[in-house]
Amino acid sequence: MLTAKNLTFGYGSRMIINDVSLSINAGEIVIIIGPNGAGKSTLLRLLTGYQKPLSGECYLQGRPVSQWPQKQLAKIRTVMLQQSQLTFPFKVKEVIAMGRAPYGKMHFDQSIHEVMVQTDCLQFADRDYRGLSGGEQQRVQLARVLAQLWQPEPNEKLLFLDEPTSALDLYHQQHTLRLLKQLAVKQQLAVCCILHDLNLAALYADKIILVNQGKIVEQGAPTEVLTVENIHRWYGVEIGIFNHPHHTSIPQIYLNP
Amino acid sequence: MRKSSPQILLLGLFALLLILIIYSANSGALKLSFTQLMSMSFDDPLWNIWCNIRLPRIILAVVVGMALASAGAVMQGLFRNPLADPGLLGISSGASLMVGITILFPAVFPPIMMLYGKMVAAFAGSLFICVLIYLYSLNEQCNLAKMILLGVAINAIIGAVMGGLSYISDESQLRQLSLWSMGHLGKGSWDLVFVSISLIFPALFGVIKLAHQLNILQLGDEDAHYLGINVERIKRYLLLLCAVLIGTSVAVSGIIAFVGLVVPHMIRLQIGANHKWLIPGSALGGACLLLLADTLARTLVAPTEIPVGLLTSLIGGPYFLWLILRHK
Repeated sequence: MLTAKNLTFGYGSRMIINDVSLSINAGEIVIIIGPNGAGKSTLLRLLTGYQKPLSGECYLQGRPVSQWPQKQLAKIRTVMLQQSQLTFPFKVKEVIAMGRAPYGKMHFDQSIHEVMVQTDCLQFADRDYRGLSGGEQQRVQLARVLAQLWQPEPNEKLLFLDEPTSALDLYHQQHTLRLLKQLAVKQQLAVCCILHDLNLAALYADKIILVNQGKIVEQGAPTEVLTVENIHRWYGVEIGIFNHPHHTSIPQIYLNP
Repeated sequence: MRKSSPQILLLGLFALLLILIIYSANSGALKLSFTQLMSMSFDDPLWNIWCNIRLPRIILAVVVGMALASAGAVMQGLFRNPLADPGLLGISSGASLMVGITILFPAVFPPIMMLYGKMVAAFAGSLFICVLIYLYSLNEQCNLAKMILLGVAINAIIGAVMGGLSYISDESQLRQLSLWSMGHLGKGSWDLVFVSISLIFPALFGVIKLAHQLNILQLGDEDAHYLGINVERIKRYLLLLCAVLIGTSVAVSGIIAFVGLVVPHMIRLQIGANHKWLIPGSALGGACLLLLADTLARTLVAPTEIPVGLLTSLIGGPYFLWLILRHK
């Protein structure tokens, strides 16, 4: 679905992203991990096309992202950012409805209702967005981006998320990632997600990409990337790893005190 | 969070505006009721006063009120800031400086062209400050306090230049300048009504057309971009339209402060921030407020009158103070 070739980005002589190539397929969850300041968010902005790389190119369905008409792009690719704050009083359902901007009135009520159910937002549909907790706001933003990708017939779509679970409680972390997994499988959604929680990444990722200092240093299935040596080497932490008791192919990490 | 449905509020404001227009048309230094008017023949001088002095002035108050309040609502949305007021940010000052210059150095044009000339000058002045502030707001470290300080600086500089202009002006120019800088609608004429309507209504229509995009800009530039909005272009359009609204109203009536700040804020409290309703609501609210203020301005101390800008500042100043204190 998306292929990035030799992306490079930086300010002046400081390179933030250095020669990154990767691909994301429909139906797949790709999780980007890495220590603070590794360049994850910048990489995401290059992949979405919001920032233009100094060199290299991103191809969406074989066509350079920069050559897609913006309106058409908005129907198959969207992004949930870390924080979205509003200055003025908008109702939750008004915020979610903004996700339907590329479609006008088409399937309006049906799509809004469906994503509110999916993200567990119905109970505060009529409240002021600014009065919600951080976690509730994240759920509303998730609902908004899902509304943006909602189409009656499943087709290939691409969803980027920058730490979508950072403010969620345990229940909603699991709920959100299960939902993403389900959408990926059933609706040919390609998901590219930045996460800090390595155990969560291990549970749901089809592919993990470990970024450090603007380069991809490891990538592959969770069992290949999440090893004691790798984590120690790139994060500098002392950890142990065991296999998930019910799923032997899922590594789980614990910190040494 | 909100108390009334937008449609009902808009209808209510429209009804209120009609009542105010009738009330205002009926009152003034010269007592002149509708029943009196009806009993007179059309050649009576009183009809002349009513048609050519009172009526244009009422329409101007309505139109300028609409322009100021809707421009305020749009600026606040554009900067995502409830305190972004054309007056506070110095945009009105920019327009007033240019009009001041045209008062002192009038070019020789036919009268109707002169009216447009003033508007164009005011538009250029307001657009210049708009762009200046917009460029500054792109700066990463820009925040509310700095933007207001920028407005203070612009107002101070232009105030000084205006002082210089009045220093070199002759007696009649000085009177024109000072009356006009306090904001007044006393010079209403049908020419002015047509010229200002021809500029303000299309601009108002334009901002209402862009209300949906303005709503989405509230999510932030990057989010709006991902929703397929051409962020830079929409912002440029909105700035341009704001400059038309503010420039025209300053050219017509001088600086009338706080209408653009107070009205959108009150409407937002009632119906929320959806610009599809907020902008028309603010326009109607602004028309009501300015017409009421102008009617009071010309009846309270009849047979003379208070500049209407002084009245709106008297209402708006304390409201602004309350807004700041409450936001802490």
